[in-house]
Amino acid sequence: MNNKSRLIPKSKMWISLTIIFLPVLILIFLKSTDFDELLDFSKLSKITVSISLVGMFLLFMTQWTKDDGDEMYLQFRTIACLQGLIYAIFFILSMSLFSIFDNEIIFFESTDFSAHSILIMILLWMLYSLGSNIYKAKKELNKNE
Amino acid sequence: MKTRKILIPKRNIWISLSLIIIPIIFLVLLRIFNFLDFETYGKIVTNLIASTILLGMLLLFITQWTKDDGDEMYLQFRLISSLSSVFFGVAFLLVNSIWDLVTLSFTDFGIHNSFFLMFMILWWQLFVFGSQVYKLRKELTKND
Repeated sequence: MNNKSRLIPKSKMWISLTIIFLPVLILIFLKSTDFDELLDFSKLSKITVSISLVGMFLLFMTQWTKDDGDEMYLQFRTIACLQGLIYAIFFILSMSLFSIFDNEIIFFESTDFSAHSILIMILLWMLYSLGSNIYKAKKELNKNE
Repeated sequence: MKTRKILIPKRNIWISLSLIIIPIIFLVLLRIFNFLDFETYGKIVTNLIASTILLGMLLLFITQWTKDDGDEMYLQFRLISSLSSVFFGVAFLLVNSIWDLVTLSFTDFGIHNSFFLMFMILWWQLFVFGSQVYKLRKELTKND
């Protein structure tokens, strides 16, 4: 099927995992060895998070099972994507609503979430939703066998 | 079909559009009459308005545009547009972070704000989905 060729084979999953964890490890290493004093740490951490986000996206596009790529998995991915976006919008909306009741306007500083944090939440939710759907389908198949 | 039930009928499109347009008009009026005090509650009001607009854009995305909207092809269109929008968001942040490292004080513009990013993502999603539906419609009328 056409969709299968677009997905990344499971054997190449190490690439996604390396892209996620290696930048974080480098950042921790830089922080622990006081290298960060020489660099602008906030800018460096932004790049690190962005690279990790690419890794998370690649993980989402990995072919998890042999029949991954057919209509059922297509539906799983669509549901996961939509859920991620709905989750982010409701999160932003509820945080904005919460800030109304904050009289001293201390909390609303934290409602000004960075774009990176919101995208991490979206991708985490997408991965969680896809993973749980695939797990449920696998369990159902095992039960039928 | 099951997916069709999830979608919002086209005759209810006014809900999505009013969720987008009314908050903008409200914001413009507040700005004109100088009701927005950014030192106190102005930011909260703008955040709320921005969230409502985002909600309206999402509802617009899950509207049933054509009669056969809900079958596998449209499901694939929605998947492609959602995936490309998330990919667009990730690439946008990566490029901006690199740009931020090279140049100075680019963040002051507020490009790393979550509302701005969500707006860009949803805009891209609607654009990709709309263009795909438009192309299909054109193809169908050509064949007829």
